[in-house]
Amino acid sequence: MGHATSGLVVVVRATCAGDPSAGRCAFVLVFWRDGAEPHVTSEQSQSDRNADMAAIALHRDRAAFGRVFVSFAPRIKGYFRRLGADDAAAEDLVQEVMLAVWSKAHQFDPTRAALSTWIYSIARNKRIDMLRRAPPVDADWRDPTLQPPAAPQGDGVAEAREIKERIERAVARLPVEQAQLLRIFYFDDRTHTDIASDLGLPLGTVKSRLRLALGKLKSALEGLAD
Amino acid sequence: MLVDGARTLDELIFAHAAGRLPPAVHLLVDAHLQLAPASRDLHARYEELGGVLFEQIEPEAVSRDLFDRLQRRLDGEATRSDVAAPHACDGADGLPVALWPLVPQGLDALPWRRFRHVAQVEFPGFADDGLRLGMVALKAGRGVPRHTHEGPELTLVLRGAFVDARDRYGRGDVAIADPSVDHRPIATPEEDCLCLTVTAGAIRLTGPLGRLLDPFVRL
Repeated sequence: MGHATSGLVVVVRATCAGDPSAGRCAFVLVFWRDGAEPHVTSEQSQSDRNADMAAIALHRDRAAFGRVFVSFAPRIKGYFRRLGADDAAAEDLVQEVMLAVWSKAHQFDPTRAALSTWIYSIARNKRIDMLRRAPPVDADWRDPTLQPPAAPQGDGVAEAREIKERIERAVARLPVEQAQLLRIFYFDDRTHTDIASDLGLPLGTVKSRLRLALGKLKSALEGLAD
Repeated sequence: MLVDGARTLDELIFAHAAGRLPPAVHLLVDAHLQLAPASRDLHARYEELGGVLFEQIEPEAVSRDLFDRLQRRLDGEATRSDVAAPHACDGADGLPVALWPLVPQGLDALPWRRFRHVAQVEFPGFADDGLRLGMVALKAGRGVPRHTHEGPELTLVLRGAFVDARDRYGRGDVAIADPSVDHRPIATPEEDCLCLTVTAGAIRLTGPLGRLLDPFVRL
């Protein structure tokens, strides 16, 4: 993930989240780069994260919330910085997104999506709200996840994990230029036309490259029951 | 740009998941997703891709005191009341919940402008980027005047159905019209048709009554 390899690496915590008998442990790592702010990230498995969200929803568990914060706050900030927010604005938005994570924790459904996806969607909706002149629409009102699922779920959590893993593998296998294009589309505030001219490519090439990437993603998901 | 180059519903759904749509179009797609399960599944995949890419985004260190500041805001926040989450389509005149904030007092309370069989209302709060968000209501079996668009137009059917030269659109369907389309949507005879529309640029009425209607029907 591009962390500096020099400097001190300290394991600060190994805690058990949720049901201790399940042996789920979160290892929180702190990386210091020379002269830099402490750079905090974490390695939490998806089930740790789901357990933390359940603890937040049911018990208003601040320690669990802290772990989710450590996992995601730097990414949320990275998202808004990449979209052009300055440092202070990006941190305000981190707070807004994390407040929504706290107050809507009961809406997170691990059978539908990974936690990273849910938090991504909250951040994306904040991005849209920033563009609006009218007061923001409360995300509750437009959250598609409020709707009943399209089909009955089997082992929903396992299936959601399978989908995520397939997408991860598909993204990892994409040619570099297609993966780069996906990141530009999701994370840069630029139009199709600007993207094409920045890359020095005809618009049609950009579109067909994007279609190729999304086509590979779809074939990676074929055969899933849903 | 209205739909960021999107020409198909699939492309619109992708652009929504990626956060690339202007607010008015984003809202129209929110409402579509609430009405269309198949689109919701597709959208979920594109959003999952967003989540995977989001996990890999270059992180930015946050201020040391950010979590403390956040905790103080949690302290100040009132305990969440256990108000039931809104359910799809069980209120506000059968509108998808995404649109409820547009009609806090119900559809009848909106400042409709009526002309013959057509009523139209705009939501100026969403008029960003030269886009207009509005609703159009057609009496059963009646149509809007024939027109072309200077820019693209998106139409989401909220109630009833309409037909144009290309297709039939029922509840939850999205019609994507670009400037090349000269169309005359007509509500099906069974019931009145209510649509949410986003338009960019002016509408040119092309039928014989066009000039007369122009001041009334800026669809």
